Amino acid sequence: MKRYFHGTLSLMRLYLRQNRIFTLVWLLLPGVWVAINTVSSLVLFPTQEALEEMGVSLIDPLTEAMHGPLLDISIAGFVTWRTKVFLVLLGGIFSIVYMIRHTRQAEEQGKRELLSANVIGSLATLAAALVNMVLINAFAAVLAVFAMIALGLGFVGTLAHCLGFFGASCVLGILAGVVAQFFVSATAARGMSFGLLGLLFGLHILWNVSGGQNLLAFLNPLEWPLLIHPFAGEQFRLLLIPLALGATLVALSLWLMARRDVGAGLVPQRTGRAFAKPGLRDLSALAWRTQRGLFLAWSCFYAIFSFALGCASYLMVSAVSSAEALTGLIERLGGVDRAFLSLMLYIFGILISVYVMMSAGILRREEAAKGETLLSMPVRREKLVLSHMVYIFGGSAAIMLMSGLCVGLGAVIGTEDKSALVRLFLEMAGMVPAIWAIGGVALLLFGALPKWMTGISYGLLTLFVLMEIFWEQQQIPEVLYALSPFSWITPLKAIRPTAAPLVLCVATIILTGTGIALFRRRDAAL
Amino acid sequence: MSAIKIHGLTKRFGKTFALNGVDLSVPQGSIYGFIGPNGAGKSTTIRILLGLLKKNDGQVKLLGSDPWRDAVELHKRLAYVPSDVQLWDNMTGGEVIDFLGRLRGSYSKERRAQFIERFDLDPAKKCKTYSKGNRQKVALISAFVSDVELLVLDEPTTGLDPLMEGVFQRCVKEAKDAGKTVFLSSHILSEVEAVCDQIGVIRAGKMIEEGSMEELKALIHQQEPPTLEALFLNYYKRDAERGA
Repeated sequence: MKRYFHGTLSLMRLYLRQNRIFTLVWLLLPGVWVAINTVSSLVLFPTQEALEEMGVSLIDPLTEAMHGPLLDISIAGFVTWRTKVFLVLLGGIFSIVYMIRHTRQAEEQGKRELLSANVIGSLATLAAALVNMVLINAFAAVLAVFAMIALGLGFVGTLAHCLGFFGASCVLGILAGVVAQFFVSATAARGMSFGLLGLLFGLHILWNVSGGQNLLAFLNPLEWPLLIHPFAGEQFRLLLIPLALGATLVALSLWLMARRDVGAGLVPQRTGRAFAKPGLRDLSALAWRTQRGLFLAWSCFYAIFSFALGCASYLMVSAVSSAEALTGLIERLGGVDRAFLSLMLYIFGILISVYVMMSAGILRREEAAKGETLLSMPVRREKLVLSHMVYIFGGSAAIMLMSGLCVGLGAVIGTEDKSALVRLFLEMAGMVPAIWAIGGVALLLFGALPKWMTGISYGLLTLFVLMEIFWEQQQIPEVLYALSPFSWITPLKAIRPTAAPLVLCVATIILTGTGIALFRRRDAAL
Repeated sequence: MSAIKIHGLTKRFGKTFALNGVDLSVPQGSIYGFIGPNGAGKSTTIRILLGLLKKNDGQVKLLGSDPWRDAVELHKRLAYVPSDVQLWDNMTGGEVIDFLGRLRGSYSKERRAQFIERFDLDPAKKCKTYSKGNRQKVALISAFVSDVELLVLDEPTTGLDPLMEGVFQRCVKEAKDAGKTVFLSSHILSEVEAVCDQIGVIRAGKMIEEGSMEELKALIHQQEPPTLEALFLNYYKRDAERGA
């Protein structure tokens, strides 16, 4: 044991000292999120009648696709139902980032070599990351328990809810620890982990839409917080599944790690070409080399999911008869099937802003890591930005248009409604300028605050999404919401300004232009 | 005629002065050794010369032009090797050498083959798998292959083995014979003593000595033992005492 795990405690302390703001947000967010939802539900539904009314109106396929069936019509039932998917996604994303950072990324940066040369067991780095990840998730869950009990929700149900998302977050983190053993690059390992999370999320929506029991659902962490039935006859036995699955995956990751060399993956490295192809001669060729992996991965992912979404939309049409409520919204959006697809396309569109951020992040990393080499070449700084803007703007637009096309094709095949193709394609195309505005924000930050760019831009994106949620619950004024680019394309507004694309494009041009001008004038941030 | 001329150069990062009035001049066709302890301002000076950083004050002339304003034109006439070479993980060493050569616009296949052979580099390996020394070799080959007037080298031999250190010194001397100017920042005093004909010493953002190797030789002989190393240890000691 000593050979393998010696020094794990010291490493745990070392890891906890790093990225403290990241850890703090991870700890507090679940509790804060549950508290916000509880308070707003208490305000929105002051009486049992209001709740019952809401319960009826919630038998609509749109919300069910995201959250599954509502198990118990009460404040507690509503809050757990409403928060569980977000909590698992949140905990899962933080856990994945944390695990990859302390395993594959540390190895890539040579930190593991430095540590392993010290008096440290051979598996201690992975073990410390795993234990810390579980501990942080546990603390976050405990804080969420306190928040819910303080707001007067029952203890047993609260416990079930928090254990549900705790187990799911941990298993997702552990899964990332396994994935990290296979890939030599942290980017690939992180991409693969998020890809798996996306796949699980896709299955979650698909199963919710098709309804009915599904034994495989017991293996999907996103289903656990529902299957544990908080406030509806808690099924604590379910926790045996995350426990068994987690233990197996931990054993697997440790076993894999013991079998490979430092810095190596389980997929062997190949040699490449000794001479560059004739085409590799300018910055745009280089940008393709650095951006293509991200672009192709997102394109494939979006093509597959969009097509599946389009195909599944006929299920919505068959569900029309059961949806009596929500008529106002549905009429506004032009029928149930249209409403469902419009909302899903809107979510798909918003998610592309993550691609835009990641693509802009590559430009920033090129400057930080290779800036000395690249900027001492006879190239203009704006050319460097332009070569990446092809992917930040062109790439995102291409993915969106392709997604619109695939949803349309799927819908035509599923519903035999030929007009769906053009309609859905145009709907997706209409969202492109809003995503561009996000890219503009990222480039402005690249010029103005390069070292803070990643943190602030993801923070702003989160803020825009939160503004969306608060606006839907009518808790922020229209004027404030208008600051979010998404407010200009949301399908939930009755009338959208016809000038929206123009406004967004002008904003994008101003933001990008300012960003480039600042980059030309500032010190290279190496 | 000076390839590099700096007068009263200052650079601040926030409130701290990284450079506090640097003066130096590098004669054309010389090999200039730029020496100083860690954090003295060597890399900052070089980054200003390359137009990566903007100076706060002072005059800087590189090959007769302003390194910030005329960066693009100047970069056609120089090649740079950073002290910590970072390359593209998914490209091979050979691809990087070809790409940088094409980007710079001066590059020949024969010279490429010749330098890859001399530095004993496997160009088919992915950059990710290269050691620090091998990444350094890629940057050095890319610089020596180019047909430029000025080589700016920032601690280029850290990570190279003694055999390659010898190859490097021969390459630098050949560059001088071909009429190029070499600006070599280094910690390795034996290397500086072996190849440089001009020397500048920087400490805490200021030059504390500058002159030709011949002039310094006289000073070295007064040292015990008579080496460049003893002379500079003396400089730093004196300076530290003065500071205290």
